[in-house]
Amino acid sequence: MRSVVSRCGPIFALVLAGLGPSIEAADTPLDWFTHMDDAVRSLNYRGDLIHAHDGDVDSLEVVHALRDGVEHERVTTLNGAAQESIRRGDEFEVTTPRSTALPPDLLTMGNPLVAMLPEYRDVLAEHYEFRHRPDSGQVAGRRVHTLTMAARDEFRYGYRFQYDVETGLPLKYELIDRAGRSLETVMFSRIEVNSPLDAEAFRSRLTQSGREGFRTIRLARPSAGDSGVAVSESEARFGVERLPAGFYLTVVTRHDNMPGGAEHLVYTDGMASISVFAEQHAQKRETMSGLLSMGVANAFGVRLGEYQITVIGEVPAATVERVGQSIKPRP
Amino acid sequence: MTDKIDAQISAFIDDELITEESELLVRRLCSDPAMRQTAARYTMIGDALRGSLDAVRLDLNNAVMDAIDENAESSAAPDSADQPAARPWGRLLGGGAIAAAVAVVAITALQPDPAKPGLSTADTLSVTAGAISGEVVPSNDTSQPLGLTPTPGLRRAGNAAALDDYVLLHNQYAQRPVHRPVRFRALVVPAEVEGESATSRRTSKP
Repeated sequence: MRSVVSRCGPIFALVLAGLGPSIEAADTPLDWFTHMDDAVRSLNYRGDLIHAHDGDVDSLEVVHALRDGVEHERVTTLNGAAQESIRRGDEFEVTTPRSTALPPDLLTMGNPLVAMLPEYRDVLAEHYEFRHRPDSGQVAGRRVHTLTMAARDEFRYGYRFQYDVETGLPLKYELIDRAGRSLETVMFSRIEVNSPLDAEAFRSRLTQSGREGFRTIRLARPSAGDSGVAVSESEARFGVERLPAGFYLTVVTRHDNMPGGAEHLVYTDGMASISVFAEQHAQKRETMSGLLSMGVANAFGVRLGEYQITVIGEVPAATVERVGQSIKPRP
Repeated sequence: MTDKIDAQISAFIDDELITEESELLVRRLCSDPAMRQTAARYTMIGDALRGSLDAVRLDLNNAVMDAIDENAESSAAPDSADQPAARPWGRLLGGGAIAAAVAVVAITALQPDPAKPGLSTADTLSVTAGAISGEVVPSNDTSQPLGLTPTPGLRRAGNAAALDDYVLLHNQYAQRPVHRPVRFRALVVPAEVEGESATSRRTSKP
């Protein structure tokens, strides 16, 4: 998501000064998301974040501060395998146990709350019904407003955000089905906001704790598209004939380093994204056919001539199937 | 992929690669799905040889298991005089060991689910693992019904591992990434057997 900080300089400056406008004064979805995004990127906070999904619970310690205009962030796992990500601006370090292989999600580690927030567009209102309930409960002992985005059709999930009345910081995020049931939850169970955080707070808890057997890797954050070559929409070899309403094509890339090459098309409605991969079928390449659920994400695979089509998205199964069944080569 | 890269991946996993080379290798791993597949396979070999895949071994055809064991023994034998008995698994890059280890996952993934005996082809999933040697890997025949849980509610994350490359690419471009944080051993979540949940046997899954 593009930083709202860059788009809303005056609001950002007020928040930094501790004089942010009252959250109650905000009355549009853009206002609500702007407050949340500014807060999550600019405030000092330290807390324990719980991610409940698909019957599993992951727990992370998240520490964040803006120091001299640079975001500092440390994310450390609290259960399961020990792992840590420390970020300073666009540079970050990942620490993992030496005895494990590289986590495949290495580059997507970080504060999950940042990824949960959308880049708001007015068109979202055509496919999601926004409901805002001020001062509607508490999360981690702090009063929250609740913003619900209910899906207007069966092709997408809904979302529910609960954010801090005082600061606008999002404290709880839920992916919900059409009945309002939670499919995935990310929430703080404990948080301190605006408390002083010195450099020590951003030092590794794993390597400083006297525990041995960790490997630290330093990386610059890659930009989108590092692993593919972008091509224009008109150059796409494939298209989707029955795209659910509201989804539009955002990027087409070619990935020559995948066996047989692959074309990757990304569709989004502003919240959910769907990826379509069309790859020349290769005997030595893993393939799938039919539907597969990966927690709240779903995938659908199908053969189309000499191509293997794979559709992935954090959308209902019916959506990836519909897209996958209507992929057609372009003339 | 060259032997040099293979050796670098092997050394990296064994933590025998110098820092500068490690960082360079990580960058390549992040952008090269084929290299990640290789790294994941080497990890599986290591797990198998360390015995941490005992649950998977229960599901494994004896002949395939013998192939793993024989390969491990034969690979270790020439150096037995000057190497510890439990040598770093990442050096065991023989094709037989790799193929057998990949077969562990393939066979496990394709085990019929006794709780779902009547699934039709339409609502089941077929996953075949790529193989360096194909003789012990099930064919890519999607016509036969397979006992994997249909969506929604599929609990076998190991099957989803076949999609890791796609998920990584999706996450680079998606508005909101498919969030699967801190997931180690992406390819090694055994199928459920007789009342024991996969979750309870995921020894290092956070």
